[in-house]
Amino acid sequence: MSKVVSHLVLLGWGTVNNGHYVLSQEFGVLSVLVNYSVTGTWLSLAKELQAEQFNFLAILGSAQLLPNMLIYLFVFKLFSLFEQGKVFSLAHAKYLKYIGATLFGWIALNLLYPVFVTMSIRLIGLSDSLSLHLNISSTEFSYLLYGLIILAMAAVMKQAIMLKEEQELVI
Amino acid sequence: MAIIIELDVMLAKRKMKLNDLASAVGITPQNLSVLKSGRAKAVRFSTLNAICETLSCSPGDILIYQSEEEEHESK
Repeated sequence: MSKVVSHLVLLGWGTVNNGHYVLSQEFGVLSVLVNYSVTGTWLSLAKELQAEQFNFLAILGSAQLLPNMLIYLFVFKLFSLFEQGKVFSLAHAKYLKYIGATLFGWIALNLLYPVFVTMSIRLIGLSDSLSLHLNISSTEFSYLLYGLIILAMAAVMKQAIMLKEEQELVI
Repeated sequence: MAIIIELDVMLAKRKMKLNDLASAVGITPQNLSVLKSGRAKAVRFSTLNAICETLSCSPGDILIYQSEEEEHESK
């Protein structure tokens, strides 16, 4: 939630400062700072977009926010099941699977979104100087590993739940 | 399914209630109801033994095989 709020605040009132979107406000002794910076494989595209006077927070930041929000949503749903007193159900396996799938989607987004942005801007004709970026870093491999582990956990959990349900029907 | 549970028939023959059989066998009435309705995936030999002992019958009196054709005809 805080990510969405800070994103919206920066979209509305943030200013670009040294490659970062920053909103700084002084209230007497209290100083408030909200900041967003593109990291990882998207950094080079962010710099180019900034040089071409594009709002990289709206273009890249919003896309980076989406998988984050999806993962938070599924984690929230998963923990709300624990809160309801359910510790082992098919819903747990389902949300774990969604988290794993979102991580895979995140990798696809990380790889393809910069290409999509550049191609779109070039096709529309807003800029010809943007170069295509297809970067891959250790972060993507980490997400791939985490995604695989989570998907494997979800599959094992699903099998275990099915066995448990079958066991309950043994009289 | 091809295996039909005729526990209700046997209970009627012995004029016994489901709850009484459950307490005699040592399982919950809910579990016995699952068995009676045919939703059970498996029956333990110990449970089957206890049911047969209480109802003075053999497993063949409770579990009956019906081919799928016969099942369709009965429907």
